Amino acid sequence: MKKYFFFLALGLTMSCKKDKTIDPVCVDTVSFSATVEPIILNSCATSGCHNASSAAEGIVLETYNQIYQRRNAVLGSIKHQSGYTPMPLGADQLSSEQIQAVSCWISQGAPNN
Amino acid sequence: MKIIGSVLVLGLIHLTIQGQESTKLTEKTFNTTRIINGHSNEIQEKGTLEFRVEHKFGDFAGSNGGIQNFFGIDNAADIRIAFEYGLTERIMVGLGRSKGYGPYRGLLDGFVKGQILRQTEDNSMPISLTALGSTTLTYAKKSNDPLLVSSYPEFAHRLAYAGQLILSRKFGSFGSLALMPTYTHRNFVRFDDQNGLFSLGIGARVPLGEKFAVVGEYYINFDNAEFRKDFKNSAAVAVEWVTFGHVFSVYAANAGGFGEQQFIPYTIGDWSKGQFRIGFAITRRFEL
Repeated sequence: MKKYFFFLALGLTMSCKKDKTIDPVCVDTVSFSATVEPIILNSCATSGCHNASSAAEGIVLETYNQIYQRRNAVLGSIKHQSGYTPMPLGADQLSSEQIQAVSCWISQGAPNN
Repeated sequence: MKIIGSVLVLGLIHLTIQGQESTKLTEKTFNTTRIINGHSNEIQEKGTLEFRVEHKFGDFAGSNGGIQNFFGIDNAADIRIAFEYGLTERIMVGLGRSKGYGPYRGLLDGFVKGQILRQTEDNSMPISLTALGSTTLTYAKKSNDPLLVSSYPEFAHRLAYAGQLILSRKFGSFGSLALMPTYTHRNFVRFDDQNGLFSLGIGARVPLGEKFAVVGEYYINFDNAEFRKDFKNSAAVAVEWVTFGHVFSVYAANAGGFGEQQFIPYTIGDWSKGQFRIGFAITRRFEL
């Protein structure tokens, strides 16, 4: 009897997710290649910063996989959230439209589209 | 959560079950398995099945309360019907159904609660430590609007969990105190909400003579999402009356739903605006 309850409890707690609804301002799908990638390449993956040859702090943001893996840190940095180094370093903050585009792309699952 | 929900409740109990059997255990730190909204350290006796019908009415006062709906009695906020069973001397389980409050509606709930440490009369064990793991599942029809939590894109989005430790002590005839560190996790939340919430519950029971007691319970939420600033901490006060059959408890609470996944994240009632509701539970026990 105890065994069955143990497996029941275990089964019910096995499906842990951390998902959220779509942000209402993100109803339109954001394209990685058309929107997000140019923002990152022009503002982050530049010489002396996060291109492959500079790799500041060991971080490179040139390919989809590299950006995807660090997407939350990228968002925190460009939004100037506490706990993150404000980026782009020594330059003006990105426009609110650019930040919103990256935020929406992440909330839509950060697809390689 | 997986560990908190299952292994902690069942595994730790078996690891610590030895060594307390010879001394007299402190009884009735709290009179029932609940403090008010949340669980107490008490469990159902082994082999006893309890049938529970829990009620929470509408706002007592404020814009939705008052005499026109008889102080909330005409507007039942939620009702939970449940069976709870004492599996062993230290472990109880429960299954229930409630309407739900907030975006999770039509709820089935299940929980496992186990006593890890039990306070003794000779103070060789000065406290009781109890662990609770619970899960809710909503079976409500999903919405077609992807902006709503009730759109539940995946089956797992219908689930929410809570893991809790209940640290309590009875101070003789002066009363009892409990601290309840709690983690609540909802698999699917609004875009600006947070899935995981840490909170700390505080509960107290003060006897007033032989038959009456006053009970208080408060849950402090440690959240940082902007959206959550509109929610309130759950606060409740109850009067207990020991009757012939069982302990009858009538309470006033600002929370609407039943279960940690409901009253911790989704309490919106503001006591200062009269947005609290009357509630009580009717219980019947059967020996199996």
